Amino acid sequence: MSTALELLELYQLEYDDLKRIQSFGGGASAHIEAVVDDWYLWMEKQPEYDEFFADPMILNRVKRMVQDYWRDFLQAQVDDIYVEKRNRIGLTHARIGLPLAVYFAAMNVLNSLWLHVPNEAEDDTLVLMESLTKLVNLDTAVVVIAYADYVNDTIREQSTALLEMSTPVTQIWDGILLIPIVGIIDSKRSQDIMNAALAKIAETQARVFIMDISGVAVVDTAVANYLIKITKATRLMGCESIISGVSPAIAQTIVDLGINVGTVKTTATMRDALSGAFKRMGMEITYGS
Amino acid sequence: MVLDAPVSGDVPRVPLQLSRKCLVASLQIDLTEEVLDQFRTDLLEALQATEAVGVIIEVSGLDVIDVEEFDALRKTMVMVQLMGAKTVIAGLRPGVVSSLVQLDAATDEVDAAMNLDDAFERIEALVAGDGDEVEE
Repeated sequence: MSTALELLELYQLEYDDLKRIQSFGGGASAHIEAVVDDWYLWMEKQPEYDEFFADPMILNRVKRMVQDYWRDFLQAQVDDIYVEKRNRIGLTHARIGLPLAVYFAAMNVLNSLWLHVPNEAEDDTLVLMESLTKLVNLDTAVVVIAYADYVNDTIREQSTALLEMSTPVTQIWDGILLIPIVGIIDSKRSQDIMNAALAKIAETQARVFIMDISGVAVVDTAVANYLIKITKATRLMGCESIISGVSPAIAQTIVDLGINVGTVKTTATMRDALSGAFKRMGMEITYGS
Repeated sequence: MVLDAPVSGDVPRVPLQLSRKCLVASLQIDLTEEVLDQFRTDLLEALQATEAVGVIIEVSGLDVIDVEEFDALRKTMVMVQLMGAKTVIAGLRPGVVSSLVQLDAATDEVDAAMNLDDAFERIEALVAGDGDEVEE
């Protein structure tokens, strides 16, 4: 977030501008309630009104907040606290999902409502409007940047979550890791799987890595090569890979496409892969009598 | 027993240690071409002198290994095998492995282990199997 000084410079708000708004505000602040009420008459006609202001308690609280907002505005004390307040407005709008289009339209309407407030100070109305517009733009920018940051953060969090969901490498036994791969494998995802697997192998000191591909939609040359690459990588960490869930269709495709899987271990069922893994770890399953 | 302690010279040398009849080379310096050449010479000569049965190349101290460096190490490992010893590379880092595989480095004949303990076990298993690929 930019500081108040940076913003003032960026939006070319001079000392005179602020002074002009302040002297206008001296008389105009008496009209705040009327202006905000007028604005709500406009707001009522908007389709979003029912969604956000159906509850009269909320409506009253928001009205009070809007009044406070304009009181601050007319005092034109643009410092870091002022900027922080605008920033919080942006975050709130983003959190409740108020569309930015509504916010812009609302600011536009409010801006022009001030035109009809009698200007008791002696200043030229045109010059005053210029100053007001500058400050409104500054406010709007802070709100929109906060809004965008919030939305971007949400998207980033979601894609991280999605990434973790798409590479669920799990330790199922001492030294044995399993990943069930579901869906489509492309180069990005295969790399994600490889990195997740290598990190997990280093962390758990696993010796066997089972990839279950029964949920993979299509196995073609590219996908097979990705899988082979992953097995090569785990082998360099001293961890053997087993590819389980090779269906008749997949086996047929692999041979028809002439893909050389080399020394990669493959099994039809996860049970076979698991029993191979136990054997590799020198473990044996016995049934109680 | 420490062999061939690094001597002051132009090329930094990789310390070699003999432990449990294995030569352990711990690579912790930047692998320039000269370092790799010197390392190969030192390692093969030490192998002949000590009659070790295995060679472990330990690389956990390296954050970056590019394809050429890895290929030099791989060739050295093949030479060791030609001299009748077993060889394992140990401690490759996840980031190193990921980039090597992405860049299609040749890794097929390379036997790898996660750490030194695993490497000793692997060498013992290979020696017991007398050169054949050890099954399970």
